[in-house]
Amino acid sequence: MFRFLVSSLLLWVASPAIAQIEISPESPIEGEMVTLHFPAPIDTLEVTYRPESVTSTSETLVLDGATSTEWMPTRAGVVRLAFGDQQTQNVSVRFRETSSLGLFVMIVAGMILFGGIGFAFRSMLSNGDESAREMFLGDT
Amino acid sequence: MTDTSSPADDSRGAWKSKLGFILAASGSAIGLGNIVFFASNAYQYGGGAFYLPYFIALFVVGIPVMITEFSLGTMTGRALPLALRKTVGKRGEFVGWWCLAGALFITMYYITILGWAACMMIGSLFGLMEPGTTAPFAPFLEPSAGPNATAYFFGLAASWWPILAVILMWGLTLLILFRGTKSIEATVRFVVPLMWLFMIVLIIRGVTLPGGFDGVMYLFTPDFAGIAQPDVWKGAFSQIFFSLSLGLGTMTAYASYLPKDADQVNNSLMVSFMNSGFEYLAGIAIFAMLFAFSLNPAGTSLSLSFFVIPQGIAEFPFWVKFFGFFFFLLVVLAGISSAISLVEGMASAVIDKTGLPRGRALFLVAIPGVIGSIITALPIIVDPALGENGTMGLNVLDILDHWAFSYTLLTVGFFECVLLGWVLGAGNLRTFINEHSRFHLGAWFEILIKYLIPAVLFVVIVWNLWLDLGAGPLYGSDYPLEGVSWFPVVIPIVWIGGSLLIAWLISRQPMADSTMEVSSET
Repeated sequence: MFRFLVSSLLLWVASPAIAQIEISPESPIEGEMVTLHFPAPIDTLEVTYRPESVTSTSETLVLDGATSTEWMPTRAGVVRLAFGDQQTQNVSVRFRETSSLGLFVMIVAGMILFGGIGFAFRSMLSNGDESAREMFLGDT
Repeated sequence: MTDTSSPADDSRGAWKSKLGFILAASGSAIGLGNIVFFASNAYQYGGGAFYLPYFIALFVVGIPVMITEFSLGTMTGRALPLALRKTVGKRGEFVGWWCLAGALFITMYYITILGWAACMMIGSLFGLMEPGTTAPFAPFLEPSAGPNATAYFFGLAASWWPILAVILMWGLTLLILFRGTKSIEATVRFVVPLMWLFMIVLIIRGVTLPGGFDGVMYLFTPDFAGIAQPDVWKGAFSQIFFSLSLGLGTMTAYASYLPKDADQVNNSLMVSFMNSGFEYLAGIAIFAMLFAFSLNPAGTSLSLSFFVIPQGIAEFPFWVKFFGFFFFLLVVLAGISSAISLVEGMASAVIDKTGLPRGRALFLVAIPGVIGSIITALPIIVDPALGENGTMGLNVLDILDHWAFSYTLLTVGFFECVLLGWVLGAGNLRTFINEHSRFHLGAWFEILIKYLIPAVLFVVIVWNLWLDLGAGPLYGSDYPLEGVSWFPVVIPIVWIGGSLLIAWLISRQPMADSTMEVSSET
């Protein structure tokens, strides 16, 4: 229910400073080049795809005191950009095209769950001698 | 087969309609955590790939255990402790009372959180979505430049409003329960459909945000890199148990108001799919909203519900206060429908054991419940800067939740399967279920109840114990608990000692109904 309440809460409350990285374009797309402008020169930029998950991956871009760089996001999703003294900023990288696998999972999962509801409901209606009215309203 | 005949009688109460029961049971399952819990887990464990372990857990563990809990209720016409006593003897009654003692601890802080949600709901119309928010400790001492849900929450929690909200939530819960199934059914007929409607509105709002549909695809696109990790599977099996509210005594209590010939296979399918369907929709709404504003869906249910999502709503282009109120109203409705089942599970057991009138039984449950809820809310009010960042009260709540919630549900589920599978006999259970079900369960059901589910739950429990006691410091030891560093030790001792003592004391009491003893016939 409310497991691990405080561990993430502490992370949230004591969160690193929000960086002010200018991202161009504002809604980057997977596989397309993005230009990043930093408020001050930085040496390295850590890019984490799907942060705080078991499948997160990171890459480090070396900037050597530059104030801007170009970066090509290799995965869609929420990406965390981190540099300097715990300065971080999230950016949502959009899919290059509608994820067919994602669409497939969404449809199949939806069919299982809502098909199951419909199936059970239909069975409930067709079960026994009760009329649908009694099923819904009970004995009156 | 053990003589378990006991039809739901009018004096004990009965559901007016099948739909009423389904709405009540699904409302019980769909609670505060359902709105964000699945989204958070799916994000952390590989997105769409998480559906594989999730569905396996649902069909292999969740639905069979729900069938068992429902059948226990209709078979005996009693709430959990006496239902177990009727079927497997006094050992069963002890397990049942231990379950409900754990449920009492859980209800205490559950209603506190519900109180906070109610306060945030009202706050949405006032300061939550506005700049200038403060809380009485750093870094929130200065008014915020923009809306700051975290600061608002802590400022609110440090006031006396949550105490009033807790008392109101308890009052509302008891009012709904006062006339038993009549008032429960009247409430859920209104509340549960409203929850679904509100969720659909949030989905529409979410996917119409810029990037909203990409957020949905982000949820469902599978990342198989993590699927082989044991943590993912442990997470799935744990989640399905928590999500369906199994091992809390609520499902057995609700089912005890059904006639003996109720089709529990179909009922279980319906309630389970409705619960998981709601999580499916909630995941869509949450991911769409959070992706649109580059907010990370990782986090606890509390942080997502009270900080991340409101912060996202504050970025909406229009109707910000309306959607903020709307979101927290959904949270409150989901919480109420679960809270009433938690209290009913306990009250109906007290009525079965003692023969007390409903009002007095509710009073007996409410007294420690209200006191516990107020105690849960107090630390952060008394000294919000405890722990230096306001999290002292939440630390305490989290440690209690970790022990009481996780271990109670899974352990009760384990004992339910072992006792019913081996003492009553899985074959007898299956025979009873199949007598009244359109879909007959095969011998595989017996294998699940006797062997597979207990094995899975045992592994998860032992794994959690190893992580909590053996692999590193005791859970919570690394929290900032200046002056009360002994809390991580004392809280689990209070929970386990208190719940065992309560169970032992109550199970020793004589029963009001002398026909409750187990009898058997061949």
